[in-house]
Amino acid sequence: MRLVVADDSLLLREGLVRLLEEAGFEVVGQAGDADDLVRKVSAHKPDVAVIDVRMPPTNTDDGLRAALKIRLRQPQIGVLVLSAYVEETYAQELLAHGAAGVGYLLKDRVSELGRFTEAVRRVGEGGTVLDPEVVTQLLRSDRRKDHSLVELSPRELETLALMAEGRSNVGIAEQLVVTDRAIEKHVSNIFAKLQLEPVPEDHRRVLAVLHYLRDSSG
Amino acid sequence: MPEPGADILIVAGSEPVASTVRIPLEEVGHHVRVVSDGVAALAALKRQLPDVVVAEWELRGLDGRRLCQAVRADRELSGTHMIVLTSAARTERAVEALEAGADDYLATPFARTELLARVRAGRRTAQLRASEARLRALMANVPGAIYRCAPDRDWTMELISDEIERISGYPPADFIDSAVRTFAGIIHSDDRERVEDAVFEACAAGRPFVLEYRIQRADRDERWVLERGQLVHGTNGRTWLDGAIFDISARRLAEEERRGREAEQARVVELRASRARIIEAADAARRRIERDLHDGAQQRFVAVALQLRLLASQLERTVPEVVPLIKDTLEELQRAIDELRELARGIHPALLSERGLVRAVEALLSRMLMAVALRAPPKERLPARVEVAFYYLIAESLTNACKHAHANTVSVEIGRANGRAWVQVRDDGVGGATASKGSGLCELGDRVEALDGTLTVLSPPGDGTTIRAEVACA
Repeated sequence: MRLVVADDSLLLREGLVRLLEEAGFEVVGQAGDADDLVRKVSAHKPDVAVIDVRMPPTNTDDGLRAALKIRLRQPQIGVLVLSAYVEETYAQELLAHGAAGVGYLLKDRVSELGRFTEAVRRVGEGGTVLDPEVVTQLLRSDRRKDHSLVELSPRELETLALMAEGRSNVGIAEQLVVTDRAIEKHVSNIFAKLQLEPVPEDHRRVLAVLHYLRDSSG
Repeated sequence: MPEPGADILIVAGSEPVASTVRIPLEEVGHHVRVVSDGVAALAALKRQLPDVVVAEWELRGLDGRRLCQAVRADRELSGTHMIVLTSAARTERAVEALEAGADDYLATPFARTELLARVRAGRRTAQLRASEARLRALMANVPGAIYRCAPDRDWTMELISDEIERISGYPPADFIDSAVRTFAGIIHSDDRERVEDAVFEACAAGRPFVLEYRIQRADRDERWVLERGQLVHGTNGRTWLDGAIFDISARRLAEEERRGREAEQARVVELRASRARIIEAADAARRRIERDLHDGAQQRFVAVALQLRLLASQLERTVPEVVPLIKDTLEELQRAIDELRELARGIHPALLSERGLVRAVEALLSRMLMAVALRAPPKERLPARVEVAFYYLIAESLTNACKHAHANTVSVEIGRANGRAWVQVRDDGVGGATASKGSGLCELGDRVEALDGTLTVLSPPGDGTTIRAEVACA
């Protein structure tokens, strides 16, 4: 899988590149600012661009804007956005034109090597990966609005967060160290509480959840 | 050059006498009226005041003596020049006439030239008297004290009008010849030297002077006066100062009040501006600190965590016993990263400048455990300074509601209409919040005031707290 990595911190970028190469990815380009990123993505057409939100030139949300630009121009290229803070607003902007090949993670997740490389791979395959923090925020802001009355149990919340990361029931069961059967029950409870029809594909489940949350929080 | 004719009234009991006076006067162009007794003379005088009256002493009814007395007693008539005709044989009559108020006498029989000369002189006197009367009337009516004084350091007064009494509280006679006091003596001691210098300087340069200075009144009150004057050179080398002094205390007072008000307003404006500058500088510092944390410590920690992770995965094969230690370190590092993130976000939420108040507040609320209702968010962004002020106001109010007020429900309202923007945070907690000095609320009040807005805190004990900020927002 071919990657472009964009981060203005050289130290971190080098670390990321090393980590991703050790995990078997091919890093075809590195960028230190948003313009450079857009250029290199156009030139290399990678499977995934790993992008830091805050980058030059303005050092605000340039990385995010570049990611949105890439999503519009080259929707086949996956974008995995990393940020020091996870903001529901940014997640919604990233998902506004579809959830395929989109990832949004807290930056410090990169040190959880297995999880991070797995996320990169999933985005490259057209999946969706959202930071559990985003799901928590979405649910909280959803709970603030009286119309939904969602009351998920802590276990169901954990399950939903892992679903948002694009995992299968088996993957979630492994992570939470419970049986597949138990997870199936949680998932169907979640769908029931969210009044959603259960659908078989992994990332479609995430989409369903996110669509629901996005619609109700928009 | 011949003068235009004078108005002359002849009072003569007999036609021959009247003619001897009338004919020569008419020949040189005077206008002459003739009456035959004193009563008719008074009526003619009242009808039109002549320049000169030539009257016989012996008259029927009202005689010359009583006519003179009547003319002198009447304010309106007293300016007229009275010449009495007396017999040369009886010189004591002349004395009687002058004592009765006549200005002059002419002994009969008289020479034509003497008559004309006496009339001419009389007319001049009458004119002088009239102009003096006008001057007196003017002096009495001008809203200032008219003076003539010696150009000396005492300002020794030759004359000064009654107005000086209203201005200074001292009668004019006090100052005439410095009889009781000198005018210099009532000038405020701080101003005396300045006045003296300015007057002498103007006199030396031959310029008029205009001065404002203070005097001390009889009742010890201070008054501001304006004086205009100039040095006048008389004949025979004498010089004096003519001028007028006006009371301008009311104007000075009004001016001082206006200046005071303007200075006060300028101070208020400057205070607000400096407060706004301080707050803006503090906000800029917060943004800088957040950025420094983000670009520095936060990035570095993540990079270190990454490297530790890589190190651990390598050591797993060679020295597996150290791996748990590294993992513990990593966990500790992760906590530090989390704490640092929350710290940086608290210092300045990047989302506020990037996506605006409503998104930043939504993000703030999504991190809170308590359910908070957010209402009526405005569509367009507010000015940056207003957004920052409102954000911190909401954050501080929410903290108070959770920590101190033990509230169950909290609502946040952001609104904008009719050139105003407002934010209101209401909770159902214990109330009793005050914006005392040094409190968070007080700081928020400063912030809102710096935007020329108002902060109101409604927090009756036991009945919840409502905090509302409102600012002008075009």
